[in-house]
Amino acid sequence: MRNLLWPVTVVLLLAVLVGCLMMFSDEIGLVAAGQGRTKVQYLEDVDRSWPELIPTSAPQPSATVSETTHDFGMMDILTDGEYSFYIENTGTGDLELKKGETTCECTISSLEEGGFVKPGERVAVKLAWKTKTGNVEDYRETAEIRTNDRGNRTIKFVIKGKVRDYLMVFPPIVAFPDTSIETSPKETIVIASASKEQFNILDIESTSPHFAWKQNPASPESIRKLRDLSGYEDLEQAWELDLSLKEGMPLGRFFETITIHTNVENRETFPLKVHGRLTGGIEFFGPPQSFEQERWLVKMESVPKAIGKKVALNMFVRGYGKDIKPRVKSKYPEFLEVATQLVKSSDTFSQYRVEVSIPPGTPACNYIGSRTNEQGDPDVGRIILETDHPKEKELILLAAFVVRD
Amino acid sequence: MTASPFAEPRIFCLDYLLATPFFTRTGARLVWLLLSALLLSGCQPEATDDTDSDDTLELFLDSQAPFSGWDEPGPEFAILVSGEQHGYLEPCGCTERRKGGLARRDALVADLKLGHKWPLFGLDLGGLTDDRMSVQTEIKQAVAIDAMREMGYEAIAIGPEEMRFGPTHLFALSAVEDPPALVSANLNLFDQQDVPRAWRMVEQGNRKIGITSVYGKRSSLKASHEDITWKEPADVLDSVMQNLQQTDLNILLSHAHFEETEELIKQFPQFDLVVCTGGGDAPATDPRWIGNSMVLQVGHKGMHVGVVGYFGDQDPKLRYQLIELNEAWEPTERMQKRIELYQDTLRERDVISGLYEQARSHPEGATFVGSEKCGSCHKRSYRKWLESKHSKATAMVIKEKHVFDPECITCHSTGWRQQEVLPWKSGFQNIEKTPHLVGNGCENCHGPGSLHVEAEEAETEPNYRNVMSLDRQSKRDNFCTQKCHDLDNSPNFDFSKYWPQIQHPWKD
Repeated sequence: MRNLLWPVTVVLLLAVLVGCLMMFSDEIGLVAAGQGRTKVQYLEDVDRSWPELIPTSAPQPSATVSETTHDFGMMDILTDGEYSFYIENTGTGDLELKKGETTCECTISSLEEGGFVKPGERVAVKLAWKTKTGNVEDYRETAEIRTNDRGNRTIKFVIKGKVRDYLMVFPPIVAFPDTSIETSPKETIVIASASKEQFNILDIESTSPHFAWKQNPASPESIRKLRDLSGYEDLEQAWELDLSLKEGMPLGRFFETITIHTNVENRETFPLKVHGRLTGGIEFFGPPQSFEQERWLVKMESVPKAIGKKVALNMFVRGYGKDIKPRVKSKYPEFLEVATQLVKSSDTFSQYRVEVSIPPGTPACNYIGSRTNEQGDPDVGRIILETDHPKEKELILLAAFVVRD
Repeated sequence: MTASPFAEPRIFCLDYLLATPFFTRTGARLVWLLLSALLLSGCQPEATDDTDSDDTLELFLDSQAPFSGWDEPGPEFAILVSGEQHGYLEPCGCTERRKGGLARRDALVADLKLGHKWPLFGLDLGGLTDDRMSVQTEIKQAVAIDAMREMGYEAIAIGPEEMRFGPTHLFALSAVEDPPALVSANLNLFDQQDVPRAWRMVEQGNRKIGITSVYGKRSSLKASHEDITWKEPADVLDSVMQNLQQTDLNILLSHAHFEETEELIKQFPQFDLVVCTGGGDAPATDPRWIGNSMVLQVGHKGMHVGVVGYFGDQDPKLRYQLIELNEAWEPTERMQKRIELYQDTLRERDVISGLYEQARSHPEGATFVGSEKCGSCHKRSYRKWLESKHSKATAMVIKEKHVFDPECITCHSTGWRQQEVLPWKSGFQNIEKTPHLVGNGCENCHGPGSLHVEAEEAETEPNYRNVMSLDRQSKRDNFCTQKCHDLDNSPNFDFSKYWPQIQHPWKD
C-alpha cells in the first residue's frame, strides 16, 4: 500500500493542476494574444449587468412599454437630443431595471441603478444623444434596459432620424487622385444651404498657394438638379466654386485644406479637405500585391526557377494624344524580359500594357534589395523605358525578386 | 524495512522518500486530507432555488444566440454581408466598447463554416477605407481585400471611398482575376466595356446566384471623376437583368441610401436580396421587406455584419441574422497575423516619414520642443504630466506594436494634427529621431513652445511669455474631444472626471 501512495498522490496533484489550467485556459490564451479584456471578463461583465429573477412562487413583475422607437425626423448637426420612453410595471411584483448596452452617441441619462418600479407605477427612461458625427444619412442609436421580467428580459430603445449639416458641400472631400497637371485639373464644388436667409461666402483661405478658384452663385437649374441628386428637397441656395490646380504645383501626394468662411450660424468656418496625388503625364498601375505605385516597384518576390514569373502592368499617358512608343532602353539584370503593347488611345489619353517577366530557367539570384550596389542603393532590378513623350523621355521601373532553386 | 536517511542520498528513490518523516502515516494522512478537500470543493451539488431552471439567465442568453432555429435543417448556403467599413481593419475604438475588426469577422466565418458547416461566401457594399488619400489608405485597402479573399468574399461594390482612388487604381483592381471582384452596373472606367464588370454569377451547390451593384445618386455627389462614367441605375439594370434570368437568387448591392434603393426595388422586383447603405451605429436587427425583396443595412465601421441563410424551397427562403462583432468573438490567429503584417508593412514602407515629406510648419511659426524642455521651468506641471497617462501614450502603442501606425501616433505622440492624422513639420517622427516628443505632451494643447522658450531664455519678447497659457474656453470637453478624445476612441469621455487627472493650475 505504501508503494502505491506516492504515485497516486502525484497523479492526483497533476489532475488538480490540469483542472486549474483548463479553468483558466481561455484567459491565458487570450491574454497571450494581447487582447486586453478577455472573453471571460467580458462575459462576466455581461452577467453582472442583469437583474436577478424573482422566485416563481412570489408575485412577478411585468414590464410594459408603449413604444420603443423614436424617430426625430431631421436634426441639425452639433445639436443634442433627448427623449423619454416609459416603462410601466403591469405585474404584481417589483420590477427591477438595469442599464444595458448603449451605442456610442447615446446615453441613458435617467435611470437609477438598483431602482425598483412598484406594481402599477411607471418610470421614465430618458435617452440623450448627440449629433456630432456629421452622419447626414441614417442616424440610428440604441439603448438597452434589462429587467427581471421573465417574459421581457431586455428592452431595446431606438432613436433614429437624419442629421443634416447647416451647410452641405458636394463633394465633402475634394479628391485629385493620380492627376496629371497636363490635364489642367479642376473640380467644381457646390456649397448649399437649406437656410432661407441669404447665405454668403465671405472669404476663402487655402493652405496651398497652388490652388485657384472662381466663385459663382449656382443657377436655379443647378439647384434643382442638386435637390434631385441629394434628396434634400429644401435646398434653397448654393454657390459653386471652381477649384483648379496651378502649374508649378509639386508632384506627389498633397493634403491641403480650403477654409470657407460664411455668414451661416454655427458654420462660420467650414474646412474642406483637398487631397490628391499629382503625377507626371505618365503613370503605372498594377495589382496592389505585385506593384508598389509610390516607387514604381514591381514586386515579384520569390520566383521558382523552373517556373519563372510574370507581372502585367497598365501604363496610362494623359494629356498627350499620340503613341509614345515605349521601348526598352536597358535592363538590369539582362535576363529580365519586358513587353509593351498599346491597348487604347484617344485624343487625351493612351493606355499600354507592360509585362515584366523572369523567364523559366533563370539561375538562382537575389535582387530583393537586401544588399546594396556600388552606388549604395538597394540592389534591385531596374528597367529603363524610353519614349517619344515630349517631357517624359525615360521611365524607370524597379523590380524586386529572388529566384530560388 | 526502514531505509536510513543517512545512507547514500538517492533523492528520487521511492524507498528513500517513503522512509522520510514526510511520508509517515501522519504526513500521508495530511496529504490525502488536502487532496480530498480540493476534489470535494469541485463536487458541491448546485445550490437549488425556486427560480426554475428553465428561467436562468444562461438559458435566456442561449435563446438570444444567433441562428436559433437555423440548424433544423440548416440553410443550403449562407451569405456574409458587410459594408462601409471606413478603414476599420481592427475594432472601432481604442479602449472601450470595441466592436468590429477583420479578426472577429473571421471568427464568425470559422463558426459558420466549421461550426455550423454551412457553405459560405461574402459580399461587401464598398466603402472599405477612410477618406484620407494616403499611402496608409491604399495599404489598408489591399489588406482588407486580401483578408476578404481569405474569408471567401465573391464581390465588392464601389462606394465614394473607392472612387477617390481614381479610375486608374480602380482599373487595376478590376483586372485582378481572383475574387472578390469589383462589380458595378452603372459605373464605367475609361469607357471600357465591362470595366468594372457589371454583374457576377456565383454557384453554390446546384444554385446560381446573380450579383450586381449600383452607385447611387447621392454617392455620385460625394465622389466622381471625369474618366468614370456614371449612369442612372434604373437605366442600366434592365440589361443586367437580362443576364440574371436563369438564377435561383438575385442580389443587389446598392451603394445608395434607403429611399433611392426603395425606388429601384419597386422598378426591379426581381432582386431577392438587397443591401444598401445606412444603419449607423445600430443597424436594425430585422430586415425590411419591399414586396418580396429583403432589404438590409449593416451599419458602418465594420461593427456589424449580416448573415443571410438561403433555405431553398423552404418558406421563408431567406433568413437574416445581424451579428455584432463584440468581444465574445475571439479573433482568429490567421487574421491577427494579417493585421500584424499590416503593421509591419507600415513600418517597412515608413509611412510616417512619407507623411513628413508633406508636413507643414505650424502656423504660429514655432516648433515643438518636447515636454521635458517645458519641465525645466514648469517643474510641478511636468511632474503631474509624468504621473498621467498622457506621458505614457507612446509607450502604450509601442507595447501594442502600433508605433509605426499614423492613426495611433497622431494622438499618442506630440506634434501632430490629431484629427487629420498628419504631422506638423517639427512633430514626432519616430523614437530615434524625435525622442523628446514621446507621449501626448504639453504642446499638443498649449501649442509648439520654441518661441516661448527663446523668449524665456533670452528674457525678451514679452508676448511669447504668455502665449502658451490656455484660456477657460479650452478647458472644456469639446477642446479635448476635437483633438483626441473623440467618440470613436473615447466614447465615455467625461470632462469633469478626466480633467482632474491632468489639471495643473500652476505656473511652475
